[in-house]
Amino acid sequence: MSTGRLKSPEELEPGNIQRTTASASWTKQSGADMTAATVAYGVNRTDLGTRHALLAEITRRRGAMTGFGRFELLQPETAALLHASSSNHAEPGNERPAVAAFNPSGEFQWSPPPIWSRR
Amino acid sequence: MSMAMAAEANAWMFMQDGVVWGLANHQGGSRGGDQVRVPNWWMGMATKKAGRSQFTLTSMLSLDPATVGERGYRELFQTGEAIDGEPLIDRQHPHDFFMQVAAVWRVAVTGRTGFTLAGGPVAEPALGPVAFMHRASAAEMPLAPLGHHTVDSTHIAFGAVTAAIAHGPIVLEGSLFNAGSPTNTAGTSSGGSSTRYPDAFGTNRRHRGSSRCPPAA
Repeated sequence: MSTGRLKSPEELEPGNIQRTTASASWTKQSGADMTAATVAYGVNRTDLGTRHALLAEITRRRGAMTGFGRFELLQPETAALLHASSSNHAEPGNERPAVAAFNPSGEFQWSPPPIWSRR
Repeated sequence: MSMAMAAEANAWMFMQDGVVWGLANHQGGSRGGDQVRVPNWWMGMATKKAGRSQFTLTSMLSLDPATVGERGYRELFQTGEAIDGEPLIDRQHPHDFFMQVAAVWRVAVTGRTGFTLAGGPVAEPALGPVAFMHRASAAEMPLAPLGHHTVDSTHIAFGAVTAAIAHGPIVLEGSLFNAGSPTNTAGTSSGGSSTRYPDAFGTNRRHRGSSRCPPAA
């Protein structure tokens, strides 16, 4: 768990952010095989409002095959996103939509021998 | 990806880890687009034990500014940071060339209790979980989390110092750091402080190339 006070962290957004996070990670390694998972939550409190974000991710490696996925549920910066589409004149801050994203993936990995080692 | 280690008793141990992605990126819809980018980073670490102390130098560099571009890569719904006075919308900012230049000094007070002092001109303060590129659970994921600027975006702080006390799996740490966005080079001086109470599951027991403080046991 952590909390921090960020003084004027954004170039274009005046004001401070109070960020509070909580996370838990779990890793199990056996030789080259590995399973690792993380659940993390963060909240940014500013003068303009509060935005929450939750993520859960897992990576599982078996030999050269790796599978991984990440699920996220969060409140994006709606005002900035709407600003980008000029046809939409919604007042910022009136809506608090949430975005859910899920990205499952897999890969085959080839690892070259170590480039250098000194002994 | 490659990793190399070299160690001798009480000598310097070196470790490196590098990643180069070939990223064919398709983001759909009217706000999306196609692009090919090559995100990458390299981490180098040198560590030496002396008596009850351990001294570690960490560095992390990225050629992203050249191979990804200053406007970053496309990622729908992603926001955060700015370039040339314009906010980055539907884009993930590139990593800075210097992602980390830090030193960590750790001394074992007892077998289960340790004190750590860490920091440097580019370092990771004790706020949020270990950043995504250092997390084992995100080791192969090519895209940044959409919650990056709510959870773990302070991992590149241009100026940070952290003090930590670890007892068994419990770490209590606090940081003072420059909270300005990495691409914010306008010289706005800013600061931050945080206190972190990692869980007993060992949040940062396994992380690659981070200057974050590990548990003592």
